[in-house]
Amino acid sequence: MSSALSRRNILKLAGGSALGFLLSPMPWKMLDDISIWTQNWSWIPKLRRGPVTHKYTSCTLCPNACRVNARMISETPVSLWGAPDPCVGHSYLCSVGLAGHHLAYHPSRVRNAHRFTATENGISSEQLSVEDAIAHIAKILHNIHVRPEEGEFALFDCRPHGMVSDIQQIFLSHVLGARYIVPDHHEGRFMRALMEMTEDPGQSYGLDFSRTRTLLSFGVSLFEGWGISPLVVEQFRSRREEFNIIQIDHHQSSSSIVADTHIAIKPGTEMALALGLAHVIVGERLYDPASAARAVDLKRNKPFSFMDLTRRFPPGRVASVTGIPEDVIVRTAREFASNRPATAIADDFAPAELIHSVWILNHLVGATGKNGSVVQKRPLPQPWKGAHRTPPTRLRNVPDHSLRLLMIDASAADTTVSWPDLRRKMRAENATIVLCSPYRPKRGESVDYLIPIHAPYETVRANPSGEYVATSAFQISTPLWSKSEEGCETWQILQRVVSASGAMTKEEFAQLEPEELLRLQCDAIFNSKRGTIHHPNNDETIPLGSVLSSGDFYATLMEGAAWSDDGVATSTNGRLFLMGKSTSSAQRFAESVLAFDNAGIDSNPSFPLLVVPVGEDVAARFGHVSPILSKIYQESDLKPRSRFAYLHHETARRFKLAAEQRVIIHSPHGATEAIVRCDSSVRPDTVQLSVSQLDAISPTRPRIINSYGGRVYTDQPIFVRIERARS
Amino acid sequence: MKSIEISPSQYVMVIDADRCTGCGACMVACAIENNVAPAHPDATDRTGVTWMKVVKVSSGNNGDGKPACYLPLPCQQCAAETPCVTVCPQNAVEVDQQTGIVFQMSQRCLGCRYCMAACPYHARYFNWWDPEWPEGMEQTLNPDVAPRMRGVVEKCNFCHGRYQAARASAAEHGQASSDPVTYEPACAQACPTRAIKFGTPANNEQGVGDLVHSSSAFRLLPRLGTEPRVYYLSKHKWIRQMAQMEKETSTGEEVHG
Amino acid sequence: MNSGRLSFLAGLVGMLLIGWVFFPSLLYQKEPQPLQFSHAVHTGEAVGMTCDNCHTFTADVRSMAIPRLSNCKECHSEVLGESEAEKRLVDEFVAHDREIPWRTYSRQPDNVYFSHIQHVQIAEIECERCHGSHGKSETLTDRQINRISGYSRNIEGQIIPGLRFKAWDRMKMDDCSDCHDERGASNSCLKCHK
Repeated sequence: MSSALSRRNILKLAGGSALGFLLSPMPWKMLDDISIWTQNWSWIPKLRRGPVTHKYTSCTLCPNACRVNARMISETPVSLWGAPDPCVGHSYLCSVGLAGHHLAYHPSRVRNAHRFTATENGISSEQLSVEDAIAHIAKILHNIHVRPEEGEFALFDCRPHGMVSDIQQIFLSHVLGARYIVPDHHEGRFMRALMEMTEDPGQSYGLDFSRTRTLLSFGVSLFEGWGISPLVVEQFRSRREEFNIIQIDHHQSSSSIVADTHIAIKPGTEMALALGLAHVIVGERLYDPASAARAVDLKRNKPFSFMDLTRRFPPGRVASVTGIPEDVIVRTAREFASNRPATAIADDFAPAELIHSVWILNHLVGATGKNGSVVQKRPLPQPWKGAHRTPPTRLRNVPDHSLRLLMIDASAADTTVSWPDLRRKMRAENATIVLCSPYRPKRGESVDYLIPIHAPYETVRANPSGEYVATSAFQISTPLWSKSEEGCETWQILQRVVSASGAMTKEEFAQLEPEELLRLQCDAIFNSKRGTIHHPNNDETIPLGSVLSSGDFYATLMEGAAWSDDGVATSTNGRLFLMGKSTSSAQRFAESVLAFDNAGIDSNPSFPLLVVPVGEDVAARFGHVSPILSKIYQESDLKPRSRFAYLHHETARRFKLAAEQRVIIHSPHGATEAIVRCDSSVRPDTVQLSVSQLDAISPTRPRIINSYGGRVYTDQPIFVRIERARS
Repeated sequence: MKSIEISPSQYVMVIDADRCTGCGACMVACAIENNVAPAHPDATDRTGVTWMKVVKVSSGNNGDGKPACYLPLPCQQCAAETPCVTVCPQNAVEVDQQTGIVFQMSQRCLGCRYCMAACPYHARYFNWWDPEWPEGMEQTLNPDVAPRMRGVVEKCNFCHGRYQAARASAAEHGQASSDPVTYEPACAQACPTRAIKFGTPANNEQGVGDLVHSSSAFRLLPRLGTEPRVYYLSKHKWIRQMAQMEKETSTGEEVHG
Repeated sequence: MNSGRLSFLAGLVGMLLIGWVFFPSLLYQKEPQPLQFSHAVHTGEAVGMTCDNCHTFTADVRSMAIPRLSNCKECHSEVLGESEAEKRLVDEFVAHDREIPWRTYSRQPDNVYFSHIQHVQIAEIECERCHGSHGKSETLTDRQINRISGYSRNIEGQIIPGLRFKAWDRMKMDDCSDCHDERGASNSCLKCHK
């Protein structure tokens, strides 16, 4: 065998091996397996398997508290669907809600506390335990307690709503000098404005569209799934033919496309139109006689009275201000006043004087206190009725540079806070902002500490229905995942901070768990003995009285059932105050109307185009929504996009611009870049821009945004000119 | 133009254009149901994957009181001369004789995209990127639909996974596999205004049997003779006429699709 | 025999050995079952259970008819016999109400749709037709996963060259479609793919 290593033998060995290789299953099997691998790459996720179950809960993404039927595989939700809601009548979820179970896996989700410090190279972040973060913050709070002159402590509640906000207010009242701050504009504003105009104190109202024949919407997003839209969609679905929708909108929104009539209006002039319609209704005596008898203002005719104000808005004048033909204004007023029950609505985020004017229209046509329009309801029974609460302060009323320590409750996924406004309220030096959020701060949000809290569907949350529904309702958002990870809620962090700092004057609530608080809320409802319970499992409704104990009631709610209050017999003889009940509110309204009346909207010849601000991609860009919404906002052209400036063809021609051209938009306050798109739905002399483009060119903040509905309001009209960009 | 009668036991979808509010719930429900991944950062309306795509169509100033409308565009499930089937070199597209569903076998697909060029409705989508879900989100995938990979074409199949689940439950009740079953695709279930209806004309689920014969029913590009199984409804003449247009309405300044 | 022929043979035999013996053991990753289980004991005369006592088929195809802990608990809420496996079942799973993470031998790829109910109840196919004598096995063998394709060896076939002598030797697509052909069932892609 000495020659075994000869070259010839090696070749023979190789030959033998080759033959052996071919005769073995190796090459053929490998070929087969590799071809399977190429069809089935290992990094493509594998599907989970397991039995399918269903779990009922409710959505906390917006105040509507829609009922949810979650399809679960092995204890993990795979899809969410609407469950029947007897209170509203609908059983669907909006596009954001359908993907609500993704929010726990949002790419910017955080699971650890972070401390951020500004360095020369930007902001550096450092992970620390929640306990350590709380200890740091407690120390700051302790310092504030010892030396109050260093600045104040405050909690900013991004979405004041329901029980949790209530707890926070009660809790803060035990902390010396603590402030409870709420956004300048938030949900429920529209319905609450009515309380200022009716006689009964403490009465709540809701909207009942079940018999409404005319809905006059002042720029409300009717179909986007936020706020009022479940009520509108339900009527649109079930009685489309008798439900006449008139949409007043400054751009061709989806609501205006679907509405029976779209009245295109110059942005910022909606209040003039509302008063113009009131002018016609009063002048032609189209108002509801019973309501007119109740309305105290119709009988007075002094300067700055209601009659005096509406007199200033004859159709001809309104036509020139709003850009709407005079005959359309008159026709709309007649239709609204004659095709009753009729209801006019405005956005919660709309300017106060517009909301006020819209309520005037409702009062004139007798919508208030009528079935089929605005109905009275009893508020949700509250636990801790007599407890002392820190009153809310609007953000704009907080003195500038007064806060030393600010905690932000960002448990609402849509939070769009004006960050520069917040910053301005902080002391220039040595101020600390603590963000309690499931997600990392967005760009431009400079926080010092981040403490992670639960994402939606990760914990039990009290979930009262929104302000619009005709009867109060309450449900619990139960977790979809069994408790696997440690997490907490903002109010629990607040408790721990305050306890650790020694700043608390009373130890109330300090040891309560979320479940115990929910039980207290359930006790309060149970003791009222009112209302019915609806269980989506069998679609059955039973009276609350037939439930034996508060514990049973709680257990039923935890299974996904919902409680809704009984309707109230509506009294229709209270007085109506068109200008507002108190002298101060009447004066405020009159002043803002007169201010508009004097100034109007003036353009500047060097900035000829009026900006129509839209925000339909706001939720996707600024809010925390599931990345799957890219289907709507990125992978289709369904919604206006933020890179573009939408112009009418005529406008483009007049300024010698072509589609897809890069342009610079100048305003007196700055400039921004965009790409031209031509769209015949945009009014001539206007340019439609997305909210994120307004940063550079808007003179004022805040812009008021309803992030899912895609509504943007600017404090003042913005005028611009457009120039071709030099490449 | 020859007209092939669609078998009444095969599924049809009827979409009421006058009821569509453009909210996009169907698009999201579809993506979740069918395990379509969120967009790659570079994806656009031309390179994204949206089995169900709602487009806005403007009337161009001749709308009878309706300036624009929304049209949800799923695969039209052509019953005759199905263009994608004809051109596919891989036999990766198949029309099921029983249900009428046009099915894309992504595992067999070569990624040549002839079918996309052939499809007159732009209802087919190519996976330009690997499907990627944020960490953990892959746990929420629907077990009834297999995820696809980069480099293959995919499209709407009337929620075939739901059809199979419905078949299995029919079997549990002893029903033979040849009997049609009642089910509803995700888009129809999600639609807040019930603009999307689905069923077989024979069983007339959700009234589809009557709706396809109503005077406001129309189909897209009927002159091609592809006999789509997706019907649309509109009372507006210009919307019905748009469907007959010589040119496809997918580009141009008036249509955002 | 000259050395040349010997080297040739050495190469041939070596490669054949590698290909037929080492390659399969390298290719498949062995995954032991979480708990031993004897089908024979349960289906034997002493207990006398049938397959569908535990492998219940519902319309819910995703559960793949793998028994849940609740099936076990019906009898084994406490230890009945002397086997080590049963003790573990009670201590580790029943006591903590934890599902047993069985490793499914016949898990089909994700793009395959298979409904037991249609095959067993409608078409009345015997369990043995596809699963052979698994119901009489004394022990649970390790599941073998192909490191390249990721599929179970029960799908690809126990016999490495891919031969099939008995119906349950292999469960690949051709095997499905052969049976469909025999029985006149549809072989449309959509019937079994998702």
